[in-house]
Amino acid sequence: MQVVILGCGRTGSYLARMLEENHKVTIIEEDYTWVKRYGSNIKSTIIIGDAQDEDILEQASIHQADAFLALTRNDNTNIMVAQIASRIYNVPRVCIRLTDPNRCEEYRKMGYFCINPNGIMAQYMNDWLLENPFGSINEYNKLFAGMEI
Amino acid sequence: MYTIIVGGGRIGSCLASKLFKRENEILIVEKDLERYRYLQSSFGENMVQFGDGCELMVQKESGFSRADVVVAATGQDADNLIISQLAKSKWEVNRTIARINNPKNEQLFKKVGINEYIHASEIVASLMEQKIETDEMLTLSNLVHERYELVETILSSRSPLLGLNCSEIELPESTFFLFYIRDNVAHTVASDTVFEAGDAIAVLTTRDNIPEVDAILCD
Repeated sequence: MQVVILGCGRTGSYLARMLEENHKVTIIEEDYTWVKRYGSNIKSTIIIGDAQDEDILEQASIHQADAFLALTRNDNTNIMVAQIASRIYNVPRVCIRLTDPNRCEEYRKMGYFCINPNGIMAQYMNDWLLENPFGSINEYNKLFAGMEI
Repeated sequence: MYTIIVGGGRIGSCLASKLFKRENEILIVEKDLERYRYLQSSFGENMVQFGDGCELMVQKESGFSRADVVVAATGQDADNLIISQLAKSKWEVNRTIARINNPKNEQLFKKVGINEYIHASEIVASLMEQKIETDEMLTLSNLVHERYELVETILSSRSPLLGLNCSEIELPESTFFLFYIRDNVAHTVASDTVFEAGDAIAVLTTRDNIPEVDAILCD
């Protein structure tokens, strides 16, 4: 499988490390300090640049990608680049990391696989504390939608 | 009509003051505190809301659900995209108009159904281009006789000369139309010649008359 990951933070670099033995992984990161901090021990290709620029996406062979994951800390960047991957380059599987539970729910409704890390973490803690069985990610994602509106 | 403008920068606030004159209900949403305070002092407290217009919470407080038009006028294309998408999908706003800063993003906006957008930089560039085309008179040659110059201009669609019979055009003294080029073919200028936009006209005139000739030929 060919995978393109946007964002070389902890999440992006961990994921790359898990996948890179058996899959072709490319990471895009615009900040060199992040590449130095988290990208030094991984074998995946790292491209430094702004993913909103088509040239950078094409350098990452986005045309051939089977999956794209937008994992930066900026929700709007993630949403925009994920949609470029999905709608312009027809990448079949696209995942968006979103810290805002409401935007998470809205883009889930539009058909994207969205993960809200804060909501999921709180829910895991809650289930651990109350000794509930852990639930599925879709249940966790949904619980927080609408809470702040 | 209720219009919400997200982004109170130069474009957003200029639009707000234009709409304000037409007695529309307007709200500007601005996330930068300093800019928000400035906007409050110029538009009044009720016309400006502080907050990130990409947040559903802020959108709710601004009244996206009853807005007739939402204008996404920030300097960030990602923000403008998300504001427009949420306005449509979450709040069912009838019309959204997005500002696009980078022309490369046009394709994405179209693909996701944001069909009404404005390329700010492209519009400014094309207005400047028009200006250059309109006001340009090229000096083809300084003749041996220093008093005279041979100039050429391409008539714009706003030239006052269009549709006039050549005999009706009053030229200053010592000034003559020599020839014109239309569709790559050169013609002599006759008294019944009617000029069209795009015609390149060669004019012989005196140096002193150039501003006057410019005013006759160009917009």
